[in-house]
Amino acid sequence: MKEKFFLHLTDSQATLYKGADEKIYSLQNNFEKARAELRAIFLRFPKIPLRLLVDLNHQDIREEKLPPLFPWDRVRFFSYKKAELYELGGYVGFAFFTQEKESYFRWIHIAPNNSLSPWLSWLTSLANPGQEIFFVPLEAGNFLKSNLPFSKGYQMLVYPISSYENRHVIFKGNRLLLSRLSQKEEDLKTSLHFVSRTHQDIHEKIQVLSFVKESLLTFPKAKVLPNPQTLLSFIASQKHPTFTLKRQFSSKFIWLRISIGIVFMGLLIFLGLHLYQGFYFKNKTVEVIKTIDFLQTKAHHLRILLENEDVSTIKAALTQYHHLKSFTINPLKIVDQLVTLLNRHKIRLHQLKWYAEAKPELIISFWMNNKRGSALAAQFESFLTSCQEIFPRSHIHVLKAPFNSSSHEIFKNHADQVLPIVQIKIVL
Amino acid sequence: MKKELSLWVGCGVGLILSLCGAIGFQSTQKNYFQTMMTEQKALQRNVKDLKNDLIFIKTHQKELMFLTQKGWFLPHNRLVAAEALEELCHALSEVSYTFEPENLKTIGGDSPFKVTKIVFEVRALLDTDIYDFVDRLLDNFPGILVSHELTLVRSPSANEKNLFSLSKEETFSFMTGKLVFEWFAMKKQSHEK
Repeated sequence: MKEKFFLHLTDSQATLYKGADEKIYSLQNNFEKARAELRAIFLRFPKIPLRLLVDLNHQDIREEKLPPLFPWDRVRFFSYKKAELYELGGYVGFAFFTQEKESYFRWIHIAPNNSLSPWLSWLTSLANPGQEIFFVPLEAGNFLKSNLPFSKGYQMLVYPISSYENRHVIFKGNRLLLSRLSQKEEDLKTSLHFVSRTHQDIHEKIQVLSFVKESLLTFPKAKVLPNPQTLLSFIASQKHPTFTLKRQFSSKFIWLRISIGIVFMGLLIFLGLHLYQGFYFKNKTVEVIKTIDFLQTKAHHLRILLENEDVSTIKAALTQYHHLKSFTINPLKIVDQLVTLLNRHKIRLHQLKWYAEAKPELIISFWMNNKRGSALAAQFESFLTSCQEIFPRSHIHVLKAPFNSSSHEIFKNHADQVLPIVQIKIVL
Repeated sequence: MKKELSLWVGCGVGLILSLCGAIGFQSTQKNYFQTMMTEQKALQRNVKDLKNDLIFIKTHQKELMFLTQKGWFLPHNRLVAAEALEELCHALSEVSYTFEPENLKTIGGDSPFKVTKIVFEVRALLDTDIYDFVDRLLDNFPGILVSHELTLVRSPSANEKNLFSLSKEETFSFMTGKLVFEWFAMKKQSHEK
């Protein structure tokens, strides 16, 4: 164990130990003097850690059973309690603990006029590190647990404070039920009777550990330890005290602390936001990767289906084909229409020409059925009318008429059997 | 006081370091997410294109079969065409055909086609024989044919000599014709290069 100072305080005596066993200073009653002399010692050893073991009569360690509270209500309760105690000044310590599904709030308040207050102020003025405060009655709970078998019942420790006084502490689990000084065995019985008013089963379920042999008269089954220094050694070996005392914040730094706290809160929120976003993007990325895997599989499957197909060439080929088809005309359809026309007028075709130009053209030549002038005109007129019916959107040009009968034309006729010929152009 | 100060400083440093880490983490994850999103979008487009291609091919399956049969994707093979013509023209009295040299032709300002002009000089007993020939040619020619010109002329009227020839089952034709077709094929630009 690293070398430490232990300053053991009782109501009447201050004792300094170096390590757990080496007593190097002790003074009774005159605490002012004791503090001055001890300061002189600590100035010589400023780097040796110091622990204060408090074993005073009035330590005001309180416990309160809490009703079932929501976490936010508990925080509110704690802040009210804290504000109330800080208002009184001095030193304050708080702790929550749970036992048998019940919540308890433990606190201690060392008022400025308390006999411990000058010691605490003196302690903070020292340069020695550590400066942890151990309340011996509270630490006795851990000592009992380590020296007695596990029990859900009650445990009592009796240890000497001075040559004529003992202290007895009673625990139930973590709860400190009682801490009192006693001079006679009768005091122990009185204490048990006092506790039994709220804990009726204490007489049957109590385990006793004692450094005082006389305790066996009251508790024949008590376990007796020979050396009271064992308790001090146990507390010296503890890493941290069960209970931490805090001095009321100096108003000088409160605003600074609040400001830093706000900045820290802001940074924490900012940190949380970025972490949230980071995890959000991470989760989304996992989903996207799953989708990508699915799409890759699908694309692979589709590529296998299209493996031997040159789709761009096929598309180009089809486009070209459809484009070509839109400009293509089947002459046989026009011939079909023409046959209808010719059959209607019983005309025998001499020549047919069809051209697929920008506007398809059809040129037909045929002989008229009659040579007689009056019938010929009616027959030709009828043919043209039918022609317009059969090819409704076309332009019909007469290239060669069967007669030239207008007054400005030369009218020639042969007196033979040759029928007159007609040539017509149809622009479709 | 010193302990408290060091606690505050420690917390502050820890918080700032954590914040830097968190910002880095967020930034990395965001960049990675954006990269993945870009890749996903590209893949979605790709899958959509592939699906469209597949649907296109399924929808146009019949046309593709037709065009493949018609040799639309292949260079012109005149020997195959001539062989097919021999089988188509048996109803005509006389047929002669000429394949002109292949040219490139643009229709309607679109991509050019490879075009071979085929000129038929035909003689037949009746005009219906020629029409039948045109019909069968358009259906059965091993390529896409487009009619360009059709000229039919009736021969002088039948006389005793002609009828005598006909009665002796010699070939005789009342109709002569000139048929001009254009044989189209697709021009594969990449292939041509």
